[in-house]
Amino acid sequence: MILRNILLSAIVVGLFTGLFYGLFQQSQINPIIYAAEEFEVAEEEPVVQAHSHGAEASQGHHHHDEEAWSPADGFERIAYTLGADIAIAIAYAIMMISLMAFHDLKANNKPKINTLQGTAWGIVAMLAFFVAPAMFGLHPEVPGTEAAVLEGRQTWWLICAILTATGIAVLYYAPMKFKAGGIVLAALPHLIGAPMPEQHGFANTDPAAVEALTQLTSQFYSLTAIGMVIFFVLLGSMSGFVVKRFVKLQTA
Amino acid sequence: MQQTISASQNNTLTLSAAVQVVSAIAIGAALLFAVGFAPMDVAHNAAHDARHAFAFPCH
Repeated sequence: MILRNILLSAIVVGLFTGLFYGLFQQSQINPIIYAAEEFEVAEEEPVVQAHSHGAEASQGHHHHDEEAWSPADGFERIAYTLGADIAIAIAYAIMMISLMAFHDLKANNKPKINTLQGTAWGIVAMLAFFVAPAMFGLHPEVPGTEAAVLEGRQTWWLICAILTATGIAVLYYAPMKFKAGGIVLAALPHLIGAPMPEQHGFANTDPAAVEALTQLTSQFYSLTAIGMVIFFVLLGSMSGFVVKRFVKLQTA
Repeated sequence: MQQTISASQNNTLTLSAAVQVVSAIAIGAALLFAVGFAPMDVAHNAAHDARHAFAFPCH
């Protein structure tokens, strides 16, 4: 059964890539997140007081419910982060392997998926799920960065990722006369523009904190970019490999 | 055999390849949303560091 094969293959690929990225994150990215949070906590209360007029709505601060559970720092937090990384990786792997299977099923005039094709798919996925929405839109941010309201950014991010992926698919699969439509689709979210805060900066306005956070942001930006390249190339090549080996469409 | 659902002789339910593939995509999208974008505080807190590391929008 194809569905079962897709899900099982995706779980294997996702476990591997998610764990790999999680360990990369734990050693390279989380120290930056933790360091940025040092500056966040000190400022939380005065900010809410100072801009009480509509600040919550316009600045996108979470209404952090004091009661809400969150994993305790240390082992618990690391375990939840690894688990979430693996879950996200499995989700990406399911979608990628499914679309690859769909390609093998329907696109008879294109090469079948293998590890090399898969690597190219991984790079395309990185364009759709990282480069377009994050590098060209809502930059990767450390905790405590001023940003527009969260729901608006999430919606824009998802629309941007879907339109970029659809646009690239149109470029690749559509007949010549429709290919330009793919470029229009991918450009659309950037023409509309990502939701941005009224003023850029950090919740903590102390000059020393701003300087530290600016530095942490640029480190965070480069390390997520490196991590995402590794993650998506691994995800794509492994997905290509398993699709060729384990997702047998003809027996369906 | 491109019908959506057809019950074969030995009573096992079979779905066409395309329907199975589309179902799988839906499962993947739902999982990505739940972990990366679900608004509940508990979901946000549990996956907070992962959301940041995948450059998903977060506070």
